[in-house]
Amino acid sequence: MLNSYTRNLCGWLAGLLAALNGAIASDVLPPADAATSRCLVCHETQHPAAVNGLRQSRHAGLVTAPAPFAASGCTGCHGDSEAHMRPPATGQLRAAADETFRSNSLAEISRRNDRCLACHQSESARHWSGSRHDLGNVACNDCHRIHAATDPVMARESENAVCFSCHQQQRTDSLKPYTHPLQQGEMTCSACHNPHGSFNTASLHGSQPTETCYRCHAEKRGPFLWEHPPVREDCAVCHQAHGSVHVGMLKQRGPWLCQQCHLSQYHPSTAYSGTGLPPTPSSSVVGKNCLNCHAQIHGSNHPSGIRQIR
Amino acid sequence: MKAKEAGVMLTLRVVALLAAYGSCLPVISAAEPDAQESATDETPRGDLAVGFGYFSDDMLGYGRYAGPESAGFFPVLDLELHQSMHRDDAIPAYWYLYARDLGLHSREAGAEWAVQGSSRLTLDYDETIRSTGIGAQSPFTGNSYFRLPESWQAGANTAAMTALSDSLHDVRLETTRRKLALGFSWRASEQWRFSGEYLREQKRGQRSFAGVVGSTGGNSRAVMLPEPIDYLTDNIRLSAAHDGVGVRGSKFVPSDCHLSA
Repeated sequence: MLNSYTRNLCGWLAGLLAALNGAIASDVLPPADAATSRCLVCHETQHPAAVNGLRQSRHAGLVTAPAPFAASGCTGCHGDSEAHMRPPATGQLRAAADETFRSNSLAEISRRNDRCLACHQSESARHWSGSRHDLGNVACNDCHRIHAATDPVMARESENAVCFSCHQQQRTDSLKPYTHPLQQGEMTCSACHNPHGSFNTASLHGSQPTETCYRCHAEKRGPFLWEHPPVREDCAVCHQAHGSVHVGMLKQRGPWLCQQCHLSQYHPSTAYSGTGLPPTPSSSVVGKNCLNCHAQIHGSNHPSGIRQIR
Repeated sequence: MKAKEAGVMLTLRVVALLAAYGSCLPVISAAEPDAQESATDETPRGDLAVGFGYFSDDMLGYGRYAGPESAGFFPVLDLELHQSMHRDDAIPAYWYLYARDLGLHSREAGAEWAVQGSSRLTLDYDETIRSTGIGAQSPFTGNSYFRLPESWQAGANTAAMTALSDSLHDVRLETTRRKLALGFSWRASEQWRFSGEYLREQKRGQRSFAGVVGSTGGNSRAVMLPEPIDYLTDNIRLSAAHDGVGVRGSKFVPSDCHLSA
């Protein structure tokens, strides 16, 4: 008789094997149409993961012309590749396909992207030309995986990892204590940014810097009777959107953040110091510091709210 | 409001996450596909993950956006299901269902139906919790209207507020966002495309803010108070694009919630 630990372990292993079997079995999908059969003579066995991944992808469902995959299968993206199809001479390597999507010269990157943009220009990549990624010589398949059942950058749980592989500063910020829930998978980079380009700075979705933030933080939008000008101008004046070590993703701890603009009489014209700490705390330094009084800092609709204090 | 001493403070960070993805099985997966079938296989495919996880202690960090997950078991339930359909006129279509993290306080689900290259309908629901993890107490009571208890004794400082100790109760400083989005896109011709989205977002919960209760020699005395949050935002976006024309509208409705003495 097996003890309970062994039985549990066997159960877990059986479940794991069943899961793996399911994953593998679901890869064995029917081949694409006849246009690809010539390529599959070799690649079916040499690159089974890539072939099966493509078969489960959205591209494989495009069985109607003028979709390149429907019209000519693999050669729709990789080119006719006549030289690649011919057997190599003795002692020589087989010629590469016309388009391997692997070269690194700038001209090659542009040509690679043209393959994709031939179909996708009018959709999500409408603003690609001249975008930050375009000018940075980023190729479409630097981010996208075509030969995969699920393109990682198109899946919510894996999109941020693809972006962070290049944007290390933003990744670092996202690991700070106060941040948007990027690491938790509750928010993606594309919630704010359009990687294919936009009219806004940093490829933000909104037409103005604040408009992107207002999409989720509509309570800060106003209109207010008494506005705090940075709220209307750019949230990034005070906030560090990718993450900060300060509460509220502020760029600096209060009251010193506020004092970068506000140095006035009685609210001392010199920066606050540590003298306001307990046991004789100053309400300008502890708690919510400036916001102890100016609680409606994003704007006030109170008739007497000119200082955002109510 | 004063800090609660122990409450949800994290003491041990060992997590025994026994995610039981034992049944990552291809749902409704029929018999193994015939190798000679064309790409018109219309078998629904997907994955179902059912299991449980276990926290050996309260998980403040994990629960910040996942919910106030406390020590013990929690369910794991994820679903992905999709089907490609090829109608008589051979235009490929598909539908897609997903549900993630249904066992947690932050969860999402949705559906999509599309005719590739032509039209698409989407329905998405997302619920995200944001918990400060700060255990707090306050004498204010109520749901949308926070008031001090009738027996409240006002005073210039907490020592003079004789009813303070008896009226303190736990306050959870957390907000929950619930989003429901409906979207469509339609490619009417080679040149014209139409798309739109309706998004309703509700944000409810409590957060802390400060209030001044007095002043001594120009130095104000402030206390931290719970603030009720109840927002509703409707966003509508419609666009007709030949080469980019669109309209967008948004309506923000804060509910009549407030705090008063």
